[in-house]
Order: sequence, then structure tokens, then C-alpha cells
Amino acid sequence: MSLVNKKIIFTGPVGAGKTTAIEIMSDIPIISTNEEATDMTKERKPQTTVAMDYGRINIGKNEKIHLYGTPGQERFSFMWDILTEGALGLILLLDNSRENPKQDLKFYTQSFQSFIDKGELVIGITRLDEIKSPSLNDYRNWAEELKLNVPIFAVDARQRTDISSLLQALLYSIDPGVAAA
Amino acid sequence: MISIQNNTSPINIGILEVSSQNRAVLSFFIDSIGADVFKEVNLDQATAFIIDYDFPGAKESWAELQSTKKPAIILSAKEIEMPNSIWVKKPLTAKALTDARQKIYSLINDNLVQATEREVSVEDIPSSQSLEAPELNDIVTETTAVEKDKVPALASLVATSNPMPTLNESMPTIDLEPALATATTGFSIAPREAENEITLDITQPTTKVSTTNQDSVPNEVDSLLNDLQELQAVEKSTINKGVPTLTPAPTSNISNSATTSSDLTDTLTLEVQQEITQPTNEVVATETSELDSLLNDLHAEPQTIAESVELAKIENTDDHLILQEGSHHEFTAEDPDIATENQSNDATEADLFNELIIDAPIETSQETQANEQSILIDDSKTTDIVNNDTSAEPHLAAEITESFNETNDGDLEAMLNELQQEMRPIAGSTANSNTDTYNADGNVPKTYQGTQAQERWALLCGDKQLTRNASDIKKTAFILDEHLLSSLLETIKEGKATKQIKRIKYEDLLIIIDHKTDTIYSDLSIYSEEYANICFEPIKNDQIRIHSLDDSEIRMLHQQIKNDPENVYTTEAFIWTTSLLTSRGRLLKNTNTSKTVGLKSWPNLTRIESFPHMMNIAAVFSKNPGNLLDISKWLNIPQCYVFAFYNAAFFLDMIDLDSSVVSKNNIKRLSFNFGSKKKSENSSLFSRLLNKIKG
Repeated sequence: MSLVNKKIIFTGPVGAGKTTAIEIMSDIPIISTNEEATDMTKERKPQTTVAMDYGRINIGKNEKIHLYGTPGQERFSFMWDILTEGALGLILLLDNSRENPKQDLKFYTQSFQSFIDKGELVIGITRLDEIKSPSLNDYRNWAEELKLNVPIFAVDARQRTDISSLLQALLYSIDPGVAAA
Repeated sequence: MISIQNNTSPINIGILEVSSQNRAVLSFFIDSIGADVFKEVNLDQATAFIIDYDFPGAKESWAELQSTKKPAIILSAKEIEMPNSIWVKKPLTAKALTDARQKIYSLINDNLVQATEREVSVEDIPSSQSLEAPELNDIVTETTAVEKDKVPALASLVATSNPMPTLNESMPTIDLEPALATATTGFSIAPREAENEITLDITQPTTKVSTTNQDSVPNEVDSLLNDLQELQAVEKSTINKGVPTLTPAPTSNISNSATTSSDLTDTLTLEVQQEITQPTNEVVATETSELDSLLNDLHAEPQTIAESVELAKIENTDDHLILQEGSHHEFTAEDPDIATENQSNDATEADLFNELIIDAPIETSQETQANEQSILIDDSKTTDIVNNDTSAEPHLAAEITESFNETNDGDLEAMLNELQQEMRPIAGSTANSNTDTYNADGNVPKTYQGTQAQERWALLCGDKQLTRNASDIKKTAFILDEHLLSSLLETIKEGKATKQIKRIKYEDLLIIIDHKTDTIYSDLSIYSEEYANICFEPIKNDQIRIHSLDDSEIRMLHQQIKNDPENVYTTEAFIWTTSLLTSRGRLLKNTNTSKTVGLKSWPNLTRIESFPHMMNIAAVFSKNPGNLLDISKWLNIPQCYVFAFYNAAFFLDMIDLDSSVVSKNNIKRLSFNFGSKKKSENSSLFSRLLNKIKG
């Protein structure tokens, strides 16, 4: 019996909520590779993902969507290309409370440029409900500067509905004709 | 050729695979106070080696160099016991490196003595071991092969989990920080360099693993996981092969933990084999210990959700749901798709990893599957425990309810209420438990269920049964100037331009527009019927009052907002809903329905009021622009939803009327064959996935 396996990648800077987002959508307890943060990450959170996070959405007996979270720090960027190969799409989570979200957007979209060129990207902005500036319109303008016309939503990684919306936007971007029965 | 070293001179050291951070630390050490300890030379001139055992490819390099009989300093975060080597724990310290020198001297000199002894009496080497325990040799051989072939790939992944080297504070005589800083900076500035330096060993042949579907995820990470499975498989075969005369142990006992090795001993039936089994166990224990170590590294803290939900102590064997204490839990259920061999009650985190591996795109043999039928893990049960949002899992909610009802405890009921509150989908800002995040500014749109939802959508989008032709559309078109929306848009624009806070008064309605915070306050809820009517009905323009607030009025406004936070909305959410209520499925007068239009940017669909199909309408406008009549046909959805979306996006200035933005930015567009009966290969899967995630 054949299995259908697809994967979706969550990426973004440290503390943007990737692990939480995968946790909230996964049907299994997620597998994380957390380590004590030793660098400036420690200022944001005590532990950080160093290799990847893994979760899974089981659709049927033989259909599974694997959810992978990349490590946030640049120094683990060698994992990014490996993880994105063959992925359905990329969910970029950006933390609005970080010092330079515009730079983050630029960095991550450029880092994943080769994937974005052929695959789909959606962007979730976390902590936008708490930190009002920059605004979502700022992100839209920045995205336009980068020639990206992708869904950009304010999200709370702890809210399943928000992360679900990102996933829905990703799927509809791949195939707008897909209809939920 | 090994020569006895003078232990006062620096050791000629060859540095093998070492990460850039550790390389920087070593170089700094050797160039400074370590100049008397080590001298870096080419590999062929080296008396000893330094190797970072956690670094990808290091193990292979070390295996090759072992034939030289030269000792090595093995750097690793975890203790490594290898012959002819010294383990130095990472992060590196000057003291550890200095101490290593003495040990290396000892090894060099020992090697020389042994070499001399071998030359003198090679025949004296006892052969009893190999003759009496051939199986053990097999095991050792296989184990070595496993370590060489399988572990590096996984270890390369583990290597990335090592924290950045930190300085040992107990060594004040040397400051390695500059070197470390250099290394760190190097990583930050040029991450791609790291990619070049750190290469995962992902080309390991996986002859025992075959994917069953061309669409399966063909990635190297999965390959690593496959490697691990192979390692486990070989491990099992090693045990079985190595102890052929023993009663085969249940597979569950030899799955993967070090403790299973001792369990294996209990299964022995022939005492005469005791001599063999003991060393066998040692070999297996060593191997499994290493495996466990890797597993621990890979998932240091899994199952955090299950722990946080704190349902782990619930036990319900009747429903085949068994939850062990803490993070250890085991499930029995009916999903034949997911199976594990582990029957132990001491199910460890490694079980999860087994599950992950088993579920990877691997075709297991029928025989294996048959063996695995005994214990099955049902992910849906796992989901129940893991997911905080159990609204889609009524059986779990029922179980919890039942459990709590049985106790008849007030505290538990309170907890249940809390749980149920969390399970309930967000139904308006007041229902959201996360008040700090949302309620203060009313960002979460109100949602409706059942007939209420149908009624609300009818208010927002009009009659979904109605399909208008061009003539009907013209007849029912609305004129913007006749509606509140016109004054609202105008005032927002003016407020932005003049940087003033504006107030609109119309009959009993008061709207305050704050461009600074990008929010709008309305003393009528936008979800109220009154507001819906005001928006839909033509207004008396002479009754509209627009005013710029002064400082004292602004102070009063802030007080008003403080008292009525639920009626503060983002500008986008306010315009969105007001536009929908105004148009109610009609189009603006003079809208060209045959013109192709696109979407400049997606509305913030997580923070605006929703109606059916808006996600896929947005996707079509964005990816495959078309005219308003075609889009509803393409998607096979009621026309009113497309018109509603168009109107709201239009008044938010998100509609690209002439594709100029798209053309200018070369934004990629996709072309979909909506009319085709032949669905894309993923359509069916996506459809089921959508159903699942929508809950």
C-alpha cells in the first residue's frame, strides 16, 4: 500500500513561534531538538531549536503531512536547503517585536529564494497584536519591494485558528481550485 | 614510524575534521600559550591527530587513520572511549588541551612498546577469543560496520546541536574569547561558508529502504531517519545473528534501549552459551548506548505538549488509551499503518522516534508488518492528548467530561469549564481567553455558528442563491456617495493627510478614526444589526457631522476606549466589515465585470470578519486574475461571495485594477485549469487536509 507523504516547512528567526506553531497543528507530540541557548538567543528564550522540529498531520491511514521547523539562527542555515527540498510550501514566521523585522523578512526570503521561486510562501507576523509598529501595511510594502505577492497575516502562534489560516492560505495558493468537501 | 617523543617538546599534531569554531580555538591556542604543547603540521608529518568527533565525516577520517597507529585527541561534547585516543570534552579549554598532551605522550610511548613486542612474538597472541566465540566476532564486525556506515550521518545532525564553544572560567591564564568571537562572527556574516564546511553525510546507501511512492518526501533529513532505522534493524539482526542458538527474544525487548540488553539475558535457554552472551550483551549495550545518546540529542524534549496538557495520568484501558506517568505513554489502537515493536511499559522517547521512522516513506515487508501488528499506535488518540484545541475531538472532550463528572468535584468542574473554554473556537473577542492579546483592541473578528452564521453572511454578502447576469448587476449596483462608507473612507484619508484624529457623527452613531494607532472606535458594534442597517441603507448626507478632535477631546476619547475596548477595531477590519455591510453582495455602480482584476496584497484574513470561500477567492485574485463573473464559475461558488470579497478588498485599496502592480513587480502568476475535470494530483489530498485543519 502506497503512502503519501508531503511536507511543509516553518521557518523564521529565533522566537518567532515556529515550534509552537508546529505543536499546535501536529497530531503527534512534536520532536524537538532543543538545546540550552548559549548565544544572544538566550536573551529571547532559554532554549532554542538546533536541528529541526518535527510534527505531523495525519489525514488518513496513508496520508501524512510532515511539518518541519528549521532552526532560527543563521549558523544553522545549512539545514534550510535540506529541509525545504521537495516541500509543498514554506511558512515564514516573523516576530514583530524584533529589532529589525524588515531585515528579517529580507534575509529569510532571500535565503529561501530558490524555493520561493518555484514554491509557495505565506508569512505570519507574530506579536503584531502587542507591538503595533511596524504595521501589517509596512510588511506589505516591504514584500512589494521584494516583489513578493504572498499572504501576510497577523498570527498568534498559540492560536490554532491562526496557524490553520496560514496553512489554508498556503494550500489555496498552490491550488485555488481545491475545495473542502 | 613511531618514535618516542620528548615530553617537553610540542607534539606534532595534525588537525582533521574540526568545526570552524573549534578550529579557531585550536589555532588561537597553538599560536599562543599552546605553542609548547602542540605544533600543527601536515597530516603525513603528524605524530598525533586532533579530530572533532561530532563533525560530519570525522568518524570515517578517524577510521582511515587508525591504521597509522598514531593516537588522537578526540573532541566531543559526549564522552568517547576509543582505543589509542584521548577524549577532550567540548567546549575546549586550554587546561584540557594541555593535559591531553601528557596523555598523548603516554599513548605514543605505549604504542612503540607494543609494536616492539609484536615484532618479537607475533605467534604468542592468543587466538582463543576468535576461535571460541566466532559469533562474537561477527557481532563486533557488524557493529563496527554500523558505527562506520550509519552513525556518521546521524552524528552529523547531532553535531549541529552542540552549543557554541564557551570558555572555561576556571582557566584564567588564557583568553580564548577573541578566537571564539572570530568564529562566531564568521558564522554570522557568512552562513553559507558554514554550509560549505559542514556537510551532512547524506549519501549513505539505504539499500534496505525503499520508498513506496514517487511523491514521497525525498529529503536528506528523512534519509537520516532512515539511517537510524537501519541502524536499529542491523542492531536487531546483530543480536539474532550473534546468538543463533538462543531462543529469539521478543522483538520488543531488543528494540533500542540499553536496558533491553539485560532483558535479553533473561531469555537465554542454554546456559552453555553464557560465555558468548555476556560479551554479546556488552557489544550491544555499547552500541545501543550510543544510539540512545544520539536519540537523546535528536529529541531532547519531545512530548512537551502532552505534558502541558497534564492528561498523562488519565488511564482508560477500556478505550485502548493508556497513558503512563510523565512523558512516558503508550497507546494501543487500531491504526495498522503505524506500528511499533516496543511493548515495554518503559516506553521511552525513542518510541516516538520509532514512530517517526516507521511513518517515513518506507515500505516495510509484509513479514515485518505482521510482526508489528501486536502493538499499534493510534495517532488520533495521540492527537487527542496533544492538541489543546480539541473542539474537533468530541470523544476526548466526552471522556474528560465523564471523568470529571464521576469525581463530582467542584474544583475539577471549574477546571473542566476552563478546558472547555479553551476548546471552544474563538467566537468573538469576548470568548477569547487570551484577553491581553486581543480584547484590548478588539482585533479578533466575531465568528458565528450555524444559522447565526448563515444570517450574518447574508448580511455581509447578500443572497448566495442569487446569480446575476450583467444586466441584473447593473440594476442592483449601489452608489458609494449614498452610503456611510463614502464619508468614512473620505475621513480616514483626510485624517491621515492632516494627521488629525477625526470623528464622524451620524444620528446616534459615533465613529472616531485614529490614524496614529490605525484604529477606529465605534460606539455601535460593527456586529450589531443597527450598524448593518446604517451601512446598507442610503444615508441622509446632511446629517453627517465630521470633526477633528482637540487635545481635551482626545483625552476623553482615550477614556471612552478604555471603558469600551471591544468597540475598537483596526482600520482594516472596520473598512472590511463596513464595505461588506454596505454592498451586501452588490457591486459598485460602473464596475466593469468583464475586466480582469487581480489582488495587490492579501487582506489580513486572520483579523477581519470572515465569510465562506474568502481564502480561495483571495488566492485566485492573487494567483490567477480574472473577471468577477469568471471567478465564481472557476471556483464553483456563489457569485455573491466573489463580489463581496472584491468590494471589501477594493475599498481597502488592495485590488489591482489594471495588473500594473503585477506587471511592474514581475510577480509570478499561475495559470489554473479550473474547468478541467482532471484534478491536480494533490487536489484530493489538499481537500482532505483542508477539512482536517479547518477542524
